[in-house]
Parts: sequence; structure tokens; C-alpha cells
Amino acid sequence: MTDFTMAEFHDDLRAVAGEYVLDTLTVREKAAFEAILAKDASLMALVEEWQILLAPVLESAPEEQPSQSVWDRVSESLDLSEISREADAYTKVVSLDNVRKSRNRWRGLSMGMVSLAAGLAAFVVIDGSLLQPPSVVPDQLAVLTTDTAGFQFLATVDPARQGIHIRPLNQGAQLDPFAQGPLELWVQAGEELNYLGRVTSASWQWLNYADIMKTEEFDQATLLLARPREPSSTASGVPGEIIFQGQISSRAK
Amino acid sequence: MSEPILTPEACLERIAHQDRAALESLYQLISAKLLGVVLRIIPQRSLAEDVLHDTFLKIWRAAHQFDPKRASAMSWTATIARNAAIDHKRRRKEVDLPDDVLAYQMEKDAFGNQPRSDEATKLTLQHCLNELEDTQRQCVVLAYCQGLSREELSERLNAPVNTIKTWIRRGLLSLRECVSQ
Repeated sequence: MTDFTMAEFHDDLRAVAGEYVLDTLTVREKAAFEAILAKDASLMALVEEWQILLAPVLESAPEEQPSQSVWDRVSESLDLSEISREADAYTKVVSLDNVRKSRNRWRGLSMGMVSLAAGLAAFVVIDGSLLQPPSVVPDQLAVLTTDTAGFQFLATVDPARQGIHIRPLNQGAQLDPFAQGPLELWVQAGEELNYLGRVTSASWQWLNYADIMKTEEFDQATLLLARPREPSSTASGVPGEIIFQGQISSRAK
Repeated sequence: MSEPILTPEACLERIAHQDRAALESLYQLISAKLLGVVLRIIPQRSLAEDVLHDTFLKIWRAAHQFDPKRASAMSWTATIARNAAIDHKRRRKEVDLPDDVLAYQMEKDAFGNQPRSDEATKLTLQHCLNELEDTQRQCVVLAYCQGLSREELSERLNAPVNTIKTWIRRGLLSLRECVSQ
């Protein structure tokens, strides 16, 4: 390669690095570039050079005040992330071989998990360093389990916003709870059954209960995730086949 | 919300130690600017706010990577917001990017070992952008600030995609040459 063509080559590489930062490369070009980037520190230096050079352009953007709900959601997401991380850490100690043996044992385990999860929440409050401020720890939570090992849901009651967060705890499990479609969340408090809403995805969901029941009615209630009954379980007031269930445990006040 | 910490840099330092009050302060300080960055790429406000939410979660997770000697907090966070917005935009168009590539784009340290930019650099950059030919400047700025692809630039500027590619690359090289002088 002559000096001239070497210079051209370097210019071309520099321009491709710039395009990588602009994100105007095609998918194929980008993949090829990243394959080289992973092994070539000098190319990474070129990318960083462009990032530094161009970043100040972004600061010219006009300010736009976000709505209050954005911060609320950020805060909620951090709460859930902390809670589910701790709950995940706890559920790893459960031997799945043991829990497969019988439905009764599952129920017993479920209660045990709820108690321990509540205990975990209490620990977090005492420790105080894992979650700040402590008020983010839910007063009421339930771990919903099933006869088929491999999947649980964590539900937390948010009295301030009159709603329930629900999310899977172990998405790596083989069981896909949504393989046959969405599930319905019900709450059984004493003799009363109430429908709370549909759970449709493996990410977290938010279901309001303000128009359905009062926060204190969740104490010792049982949450049920059931398949929809045909033609309509909500119209009949009775859930379909119950797949997951868990009793709500309240934190000592 | 609590009283804000004075500088975004100080906030990031504390966020790196999982200080949620510092994240709240940072939010107060820069969320409006970051939403402005995102809205230029995703004009629908509700979607832009979704991206802003994701951006602050990324900042929470990546704050330990921030080095004030290499980039200003504003540049660092604005780049995270921009990358998140572009990623969101590309996903909505169902461009089939492998997950590991997306993760790489989103999570990698934005500014590596380079020294941070300052006001003089900003002025130089502005001057050099103005020195570019109009088409080159439009390509670079629209791609960077609005996340336009070559195809979108082609439509916007009514020019073939290959011409756009040429304008982008010439514009980038001219820009760098000008800044280096």
C-alpha cells in the first residue's frame, strides 16, 4: 500500500467510525464494524474521539419539562428492581426438587416464601442501606407460585397510588405462563372475589384497584392468576383455571 | 422532591454509590435538557418520556463509569439519552439488530479515555459546523441530533442514498480537519 492509499484508508476508517457514532451505518456495516471494534483498541480510540467531538452538539437542545409521572415511574422502577433482586436472591435457595412433590407442599412453601419475603422486606427496613428511603418497601406483598416448578410472580401493593405492581421473578424458567394467552389477576378476600385486570406480558405491570376495593382489604387476601374463563370470567364473577396463587403478607407496622 | 445538589458531576459521583437522593437531584437539574435531546429524535411526547425514564435507569446503572476528567456530566448523560432515543426509534421500525449489538450501543462507556470537552471546544465545533457545505452540515447534524438514517436523510434532502453517504463522510472528515487546526 502506498502512502497515499494508506492515508485514504485511514480517512475512510475515521469516517466509518464517525458514521458509527452518528448511527448512520447499515445494520450489516455496523455489525462488521463492531466485530473489528471489539478487537482493535485504536479503532475504539477513533470512536471515542468522535463521541467527544460531537457530544456538545446535543447540549443545544431546547429544554422541555417532563411531566411529573416520569420521575414517579423512575422511582417505581428502582423500587421494583431492588425488591425483585432481593426476592430472586431468596428464591434461589429453594430446591425445586422438593417443591415438585405435592400441591400441599407447594402451598406450604408458598406460605413460607411469603413469610420469608416479608421477613426480607423487614430486613431491608432495618438495614436501611439497601433501599432509600425505607418507605419504598411495600407494606403488602405476595409471591404467587404454581404447581409447575420454575416460575413465580411478585406482587406488591402500593397504597399511595392505589395499585398493584406485578412481575415475574424468574424469567429464565422454561415454563411460559403466557403460552396460552394472557392471565387474569383476581383477589380473594374472605368470601369475596374481585377481578383486578389482565396480566399480559413478562415485564412488570401496573393494575389499579381504587375502584374495586380498599387497601386494607388486601390484608391476608390471596392473589390468584387465572386463565380467562370462556366466554367471560369477569361477567360471571368467577375466575377460570387458577395457575398461580399467593397470600398477601403485610409488613409489621 | 429534595433540594438539588449543585452540579450534575457531584450527583453522578454519588449516584455511583447508589444514592437515590442524588439521582433525584440530577433529575431536577437535567431532565428538561435530556427530554429536549430525546424529543428531537422522537417527537411524540409520551414515547419521548418513556425514553427519558429508560435513560435515568441507565444513568443509575452506569454512573460508576462516569469520569469527570473525560467528559462533562451533561455531555455524558445527553449521549446516553440520544443513544436510548435512537435505539427506541430503530426498534420501533423493527430493524433487526441483534440484542448484543443493542446492548453494546446502550451500555458502553460513552467517552472512554478521551479528555472532556470545554467551552472553547464547543465554540470551535460550532464554527467548524458552520464552515461545512450546507448539505454536509445538514447530514451530520440531522443524523446526530435527530437520529436520521441515510434513507431518511435521502428523503429529507431529496438526494440518492449514495450521495448522502458521501456527504456524511466528507462532512465528518472536513469537520475533524477543521477542529484539529
